[in-house]
Amino acid sequence: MLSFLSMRLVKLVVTLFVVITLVFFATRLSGNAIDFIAGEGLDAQSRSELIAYYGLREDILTQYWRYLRGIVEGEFGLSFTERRPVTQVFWERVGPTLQLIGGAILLTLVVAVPAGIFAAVRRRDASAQGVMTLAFLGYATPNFVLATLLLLVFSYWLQILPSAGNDTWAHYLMPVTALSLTYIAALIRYTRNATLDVLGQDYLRTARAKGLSEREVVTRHVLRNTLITVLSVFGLMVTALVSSGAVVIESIFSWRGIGDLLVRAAIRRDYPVLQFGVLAVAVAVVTINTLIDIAYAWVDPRVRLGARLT
Amino acid sequence: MTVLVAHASRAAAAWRDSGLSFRLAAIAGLVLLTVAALAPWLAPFDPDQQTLLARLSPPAGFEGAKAGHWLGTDELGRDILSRGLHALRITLGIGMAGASLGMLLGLTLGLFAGLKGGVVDDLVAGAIDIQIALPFTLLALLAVAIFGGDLMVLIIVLGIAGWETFARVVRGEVMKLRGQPFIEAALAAGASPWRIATRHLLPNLVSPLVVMFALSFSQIVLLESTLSFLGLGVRPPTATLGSMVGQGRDYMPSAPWLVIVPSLLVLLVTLVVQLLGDSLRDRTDIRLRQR
Repeated sequence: MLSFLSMRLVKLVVTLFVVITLVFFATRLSGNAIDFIAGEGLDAQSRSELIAYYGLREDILTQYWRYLRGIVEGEFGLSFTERRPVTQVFWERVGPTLQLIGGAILLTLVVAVPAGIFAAVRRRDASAQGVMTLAFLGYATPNFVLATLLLLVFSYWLQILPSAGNDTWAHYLMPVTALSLTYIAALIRYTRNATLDVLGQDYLRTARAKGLSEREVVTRHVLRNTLITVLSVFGLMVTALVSSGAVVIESIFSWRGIGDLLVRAAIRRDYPVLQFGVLAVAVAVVTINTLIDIAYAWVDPRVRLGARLT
Repeated sequence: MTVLVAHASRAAAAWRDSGLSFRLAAIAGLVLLTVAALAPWLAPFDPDQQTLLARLSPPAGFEGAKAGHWLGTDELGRDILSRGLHALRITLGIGMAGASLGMLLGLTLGLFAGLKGGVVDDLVAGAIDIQIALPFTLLALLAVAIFGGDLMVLIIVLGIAGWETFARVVRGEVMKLRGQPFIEAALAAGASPWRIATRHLLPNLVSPLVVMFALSFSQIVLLESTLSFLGLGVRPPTATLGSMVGQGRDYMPSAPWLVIVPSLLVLLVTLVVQLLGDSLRDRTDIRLRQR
């Protein structure tokens, strides 16, 4: 187990190192970043002062080396547009994003798991097929389309929900719904499949044979065994929620979170902010993936002992 | 020729035992593709032609509609039907080009990794790990910030972003196939790696490739729409479905058709593609077929 863990850790560090390097050099491909910060018509002296201020004077390898050293020390550079440390800019945005994502995770789990189990247990009923049709429609609906149509109906036509900001609980309704829908739909489908696998197992026949009611069979045996599969998928969904869902939804509802920040940074070419954002999300994704791997290894000795699962 | 006939009869058989939803989706998909391909001839107006006197006129049948503009006009008096048709063409074109590029890259690397093994395999597997750590949307944000919203750049970025799924699955399949007797027999007969790859492995990879292509296509259409919606995709005035929704947002209270028409089009495209991808996957996944 220990050698497996250390192997995973080495792999994690190497992956992150390559990501950092790629992103660093990619952002330098577009020429001197100072042109975007300074704009046209800046005199030579202020220009060279700005270049010095953002540490863009040295050659690229020196800059790269300094960037790597900075990361180790927790320094990620200054935002071009806000002129203060990137970490500070990010820190202010973490709260709103966590609230949005937390709401979406909660809504997804509460709706999708019962609905998926229901759809599997009652798979011959019309109601269960209705659930699956809805899940399909939800899965195929892009979240920006849903968000825009929600805005149109509830903010402009009915005028009962606010269109921007995050001050009251009513502000959460539309963004959380729009963000969750895809994941609810996807998780319903996974949960249904996982439940169908469980329903075919012998231990359910045993449970029924010893006289448990159908309700007890579902809550005691089906739910628990389904959750194991569902939770592993859910880990992966959380990373998608962070990296793509939040980006879109936040900029539609003017939600002052990390997604909104990254879109603005991309439009204004604020490279230090983008670099840090990509790095932060990469760390999150790699960490979650590693945790899932470790969890699998814990359960399945074949993985732990180095056999390849292909 | 015989191969073609075999494929045609297999397609016919697939059509016979497919469900209603698959047939509907297949027909809708063909219609969408045809309409998109014929957009320049079908569209009643030039999509970028501005008629400032006919600004924000509602779709036919509503009060104040202008004759000839069936789906109304936008804030610059451009015909929405014409823009929608051209946008569909660009969106589907980007999806096709991006998914093809991803497939080409992923298939080549996956075949190499699976066949050669050793260092090559480790490198490809490492590259896959790195790609997984870099989420699609962020990568696109970064690339658009660096290179701008050029059409070619967008296609390349979207293609590159999709290569990893293809590579992963192809690599796995090749590893599974490599131990099969028919590959060993081909090796013993002195077949070159190229021949093994093209004559023995590729035919066995067709069905997973088709499914992945459909799924990757829908993912790329989604991502392109999202980026354009955020103002980070194809540059204006060229319309894509996403950018039409994005720009229409400013006029939502007074001219909701600016948002509704392209939204419904996006929805139609993603529904059809998803339906096709789903049914294709269900057909190839034996585990699911028994249910």
